[in-house]
Amino acid sequence: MENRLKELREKASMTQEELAIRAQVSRQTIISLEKGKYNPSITLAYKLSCIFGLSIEELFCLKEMEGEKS
Amino acid sequence: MTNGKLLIKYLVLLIIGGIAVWQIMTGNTSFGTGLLAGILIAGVLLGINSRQIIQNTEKGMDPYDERVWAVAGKASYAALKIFAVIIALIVLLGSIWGPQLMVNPYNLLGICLAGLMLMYVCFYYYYNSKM
Repeated sequence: MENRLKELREKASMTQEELAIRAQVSRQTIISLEKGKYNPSITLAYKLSCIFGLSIEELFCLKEMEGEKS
Repeated sequence: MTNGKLLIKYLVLLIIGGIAVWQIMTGNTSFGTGLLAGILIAGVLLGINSRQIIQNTEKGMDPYDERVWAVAGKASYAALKIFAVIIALIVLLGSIWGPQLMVNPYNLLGICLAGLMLMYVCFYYYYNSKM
């Protein structure tokens, strides 16, 4: 699963720790999400999308579905 | 980790430490010393770990978030699977070709537990770096 977490976090001038505190997860989880190593649960994906004021689809995208979109 | 849970963990370590001292005093020095060394190491590790957890919790982060549970779940499954396969192979091959041995069941259980824990820790670090 691909995501725009790093891009949006940097745009919002937020540190990984600040985002972790707002999403109530550990900083390691934010690092793993940004690297695309970990796929979040629907609850965490919803929390993160709420933080950035976006929909889940705008924040996360399945690699297999990326081609279908365009 | 709440203060209550931490207190219980330290209390358990203290009780086992007491058993270790009692064993040393009654002449079972090798077992008592080993147990005491293990308790000291566990106490130091618990202290470091709980300090980090308390610091992160105070900041508002969750040190036991969903990723930690996912890593722990994968590590447990992998450790259990490998452990079961190894035990099954030992039982199978040992029953056919192995010699009949008289073993202390407590020692055997201790070795099995230590092996399982070691595998879990190794798999935990492996999945923690992968996820």
